[in-house]
Amino acid sequence: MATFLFLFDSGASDSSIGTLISTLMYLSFILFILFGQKIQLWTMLWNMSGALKKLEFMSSEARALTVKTLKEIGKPKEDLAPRLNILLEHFLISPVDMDPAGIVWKFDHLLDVRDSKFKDDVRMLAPEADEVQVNNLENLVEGALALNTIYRVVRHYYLLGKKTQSFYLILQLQMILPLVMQEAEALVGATKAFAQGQPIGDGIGPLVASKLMRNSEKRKVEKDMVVSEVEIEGRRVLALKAEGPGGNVGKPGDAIRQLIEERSGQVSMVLMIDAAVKFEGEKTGDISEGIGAAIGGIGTERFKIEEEVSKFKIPLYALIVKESIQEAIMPMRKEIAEAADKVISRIKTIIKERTKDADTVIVAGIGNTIGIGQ
Amino acid sequence: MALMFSLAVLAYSAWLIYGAASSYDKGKAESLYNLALGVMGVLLALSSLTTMRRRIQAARAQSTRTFTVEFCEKCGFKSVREFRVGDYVHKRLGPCRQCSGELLIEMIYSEPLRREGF
Repeated sequence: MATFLFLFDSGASDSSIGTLISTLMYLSFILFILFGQKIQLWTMLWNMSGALKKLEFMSSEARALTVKTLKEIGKPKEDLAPRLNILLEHFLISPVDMDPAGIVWKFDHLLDVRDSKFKDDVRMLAPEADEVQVNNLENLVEGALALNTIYRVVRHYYLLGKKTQSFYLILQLQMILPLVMQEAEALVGATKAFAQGQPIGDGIGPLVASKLMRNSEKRKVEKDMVVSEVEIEGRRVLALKAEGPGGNVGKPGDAIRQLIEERSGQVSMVLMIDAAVKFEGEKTGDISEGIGAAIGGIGTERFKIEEEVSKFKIPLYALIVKESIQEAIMPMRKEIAEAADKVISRIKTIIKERTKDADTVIVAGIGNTIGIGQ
Repeated sequence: MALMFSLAVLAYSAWLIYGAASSYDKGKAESLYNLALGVMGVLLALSSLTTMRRRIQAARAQSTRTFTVEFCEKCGFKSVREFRVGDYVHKRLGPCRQCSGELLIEMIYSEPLRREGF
């Protein structure tokens, strides 16, 4: 009290202000030593709550777009909300891997059941949609599901950290939050592409295959795939892609296996084209060559392809087009679309250098074929 | 809210620096404290404003526009227009405007609306 009155004494005002500032500085120093971590935790929680609100907004925006598109295209007669809410929390339990022998076929079966059920559920939500539209709507719902899952997981760790006041839990979440937000923003772009049926970056493989099979007769093969036989540099090329223009990845593993079995293994080369993640600093649309099965996913399709080519000792080459994770799921950029012709020149070079006249080559365009016909 | 707070901190820091400069002539030691606080405040406020500006620019750069390229294989006619729902690559559009060939969609691509920057 005396100190406080002393401070208001005009005769001693200058030194008293200096004393006050010094005292405050010492106090803040002591506060930071004793409560620094807690202050950091509150600051991180405050920042995170902003990011969480943004995630919630993105998730509800994707959900609203899904409802709007389903109503416009599918013209449902009953309320969408209850069934859509169930779909937006859909999950798949992986088979147990304690005894991994045969796990690929178990996974394959579960994925088939999951895809079939998901598609049937989307058909029920959009009864008047045709097959192409159902495929696009399926992709749209999956995009909204992914956003909803990201929001729920981040919210879980945020609330858990807040509840337990665990600095290290919140720190770990904060460290990955910029990448998570980037992924979420890309998914918002992806849902807009799926709603309108626009090609995405991941469609570069099907785009290349569709350019190869233009003006040729196509036939359907296992499963949801189309193949066309064309002649390139005197070789018989079987160009393969998922059946578009609806959003579809097909089952390239089953298709390649069928084509090789049809020819009793008399295939000189399998060449796979896919999009791949670029390093920071690399240019979008650059092309790289390599060996192996260029296909994403859990690994079931890759397993089938590798098993089949190993059985008949068929060389397996890969051509990848570099793009970021965001570019792969957002509307296809010009640099990626223009890379298709460069990939075709590389295919011709590889075929000419590595095979002989009249050889049979399988060229598989891997990816989501939304917005790309054949 | 964050913008207003940063501007308020910037204004107060500027006032502290001005006060420090004018009281320095009178030989007062506290002016150094005020100068140091003012400089720190200005730096923090500018850092906060720059970060906000970068976030706004990054948000704008993500908006994209999608185009459809129509092409006639016979005469090489090419035109670029805005994407329409229902467009897909290799879709047949009907007769070419310049010859008797068939017009089809050759490419669909997107471009950012604004230039991406820092």
